[in-house]
Amino acid sequence: MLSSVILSWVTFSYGAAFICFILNWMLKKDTARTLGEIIVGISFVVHLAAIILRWIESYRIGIGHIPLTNFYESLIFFSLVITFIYLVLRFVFRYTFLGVFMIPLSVLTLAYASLSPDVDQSIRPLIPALQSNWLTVHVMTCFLSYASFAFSFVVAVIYLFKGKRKGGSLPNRETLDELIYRGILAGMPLLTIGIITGAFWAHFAWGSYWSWDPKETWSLITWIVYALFLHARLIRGWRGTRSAVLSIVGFFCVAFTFLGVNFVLSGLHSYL
Amino acid sequence: MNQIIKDTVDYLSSVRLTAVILIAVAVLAAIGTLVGQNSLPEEYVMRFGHTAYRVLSLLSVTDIYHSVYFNALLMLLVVNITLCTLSFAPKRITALWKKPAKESGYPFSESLVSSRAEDEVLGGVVKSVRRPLCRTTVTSRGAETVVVSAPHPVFSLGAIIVHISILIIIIGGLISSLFGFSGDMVIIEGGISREVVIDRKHLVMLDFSVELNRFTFDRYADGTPREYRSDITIIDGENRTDSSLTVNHPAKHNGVRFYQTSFGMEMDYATIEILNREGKSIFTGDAYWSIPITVPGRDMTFTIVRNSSEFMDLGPAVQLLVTDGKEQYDLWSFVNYPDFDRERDGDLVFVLKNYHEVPYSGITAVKEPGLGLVFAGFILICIGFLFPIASSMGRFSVRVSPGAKTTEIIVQGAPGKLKVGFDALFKRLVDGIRKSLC
Repeated sequence: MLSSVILSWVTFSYGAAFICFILNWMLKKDTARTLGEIIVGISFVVHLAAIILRWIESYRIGIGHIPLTNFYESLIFFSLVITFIYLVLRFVFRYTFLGVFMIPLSVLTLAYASLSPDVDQSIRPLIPALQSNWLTVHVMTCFLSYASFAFSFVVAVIYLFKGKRKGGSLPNRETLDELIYRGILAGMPLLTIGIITGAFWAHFAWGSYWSWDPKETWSLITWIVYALFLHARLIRGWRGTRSAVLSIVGFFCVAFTFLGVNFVLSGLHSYL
Repeated sequence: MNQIIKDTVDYLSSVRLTAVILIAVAVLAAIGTLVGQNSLPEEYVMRFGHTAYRVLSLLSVTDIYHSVYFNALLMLLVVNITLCTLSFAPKRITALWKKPAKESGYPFSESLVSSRAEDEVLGGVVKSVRRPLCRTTVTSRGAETVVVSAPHPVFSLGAIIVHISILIIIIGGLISSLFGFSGDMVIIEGGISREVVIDRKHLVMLDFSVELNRFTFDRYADGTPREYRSDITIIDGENRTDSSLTVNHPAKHNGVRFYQTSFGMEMDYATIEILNREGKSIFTGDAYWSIPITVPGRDMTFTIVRNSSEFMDLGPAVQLLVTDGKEQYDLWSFVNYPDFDRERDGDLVFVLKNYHEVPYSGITAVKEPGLGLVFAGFILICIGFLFPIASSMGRFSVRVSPGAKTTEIIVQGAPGKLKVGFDALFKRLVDGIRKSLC
């Protein structure tokens, strides 16, 4: 399919942008970063276009559904959202340091989707459980929350990596600390809405809004970890290393909810 | 004594306890997913061995979410959240009617002078300061007028709303599990049933019946399922209501909802022929599961006690229990092996001539009296979680006082919980006022 071919090329162009960001990091040349940013901008537009094309292709072969319904499609959407958040932070909030840390996530997820032989790229018709209007809003809010948490994770890693060093192109520790919090402040409502739209959907599809299916359970565990983060920060005043570590733990739960559950455990969410 | 009670209540309402409970819930939930829930005993034995399985099942780890200790934890969480919310909620709610923060609490400050008249300046300031989700107040103090823009105080109630929602959701779930049920109905095409089997153990009788008129199963060209559909009639006394069940489209009657969950083929009846030793047929008739058939002219009955459409890869088979006079015995008979029963060397040979199957539909019947509460909690928690974003936007205060020929403007700002980037917002506000009024 053309869209899949385009997406494999987008993988490489994100990879090229990543190399530009590394060069900027090592050589302190702003031109390298600007070039990387231009490449990310163009790749993002092509990436979005390819997803829309996949949507059109699914109608052309007579199936016709939004491309958010299997593992391959969720990976390419996740990669898109990560890039989108990077672009917003770069061009709206003017954070120039994020490229070298966030774009590798886009590259990795898209590379896994495009190049791994285990990921089925074909467009398949929807099984009865997936034929629902809840699908779009459930999947979108979940992945937006995953991407917000991924952002927090990236900043937490930067925070730990920066240590007590001062100066450099990275923001100061207080700023990084608050950015971790902001990612979670955005991710938490999104995850809550994601879980609850899923619960509404499960109510109509399976007759139970909560059945302790592994994916549901892990999303709840993730939710609990971030709830602990919020309480630690707001009530007990946690800042710095401790809260960065907690954010990293949270993201491991996100990763396990998204990927681990499918590979390690079996359940109702077997299609994604 | 009072001290002990006070200490206990303090501990029960502490965030420390919340953390302990939440970590315990998360760890138990994770263990539950790793062990796997409500599988067959054989599966656990295969994975963990006999001894480990016995320990796991003794500790309810194989059904952890319904275990006593897991639900006790949830109840403790309810107590903790209730007490904790009660301890901070009244202060937050009464704070809604209190005056906003004092002016000394503004770390950012900038003085401007405008040549325009006070009225005009005030109008311009109000326009620049106004932000979405924030409340703008204008108060006069002597010659000075103060314009304050602060997040609407109602947004400080986010935590209270989220906590109350969690309580509502848990209580709703509790009401459903105490007064409701969820179980399976298996109805063959043309059959009527009012039996709901819960957890393969208990039976609930509905006060109306469900008739399955037709079951259809549709596939796409590539073989993946497109639709399962049960056309049912709900018979409640004289009333008959037709509806069709598909996945994602349940039906509802008298507070009970019906979901399409599974389907398959089930034996309707089997045709049995009995031969004597010479091979002469002495009886042929249709038998239904568990209903004894009397063979005419003999003191003999037989009953189908087990049946399978694919018995040990040998095709359709039935197990018959035969009562012949005072003698009782059982035997198996296969459609594909008509001579099988001959090898038993009995007086008679039972032959399974025909194994007639009909489609059945597996329907989940659910009654959840707490559902409304749970859904209200769901909607409330989503709203509550958006409040903190609005409440952390920071405050601006602009003091306007008339001078001799000019108007003096003092712009002040204080960030909320989010400090990063507030300096830029403050600068933008000052620049905006300067540009339009100075």
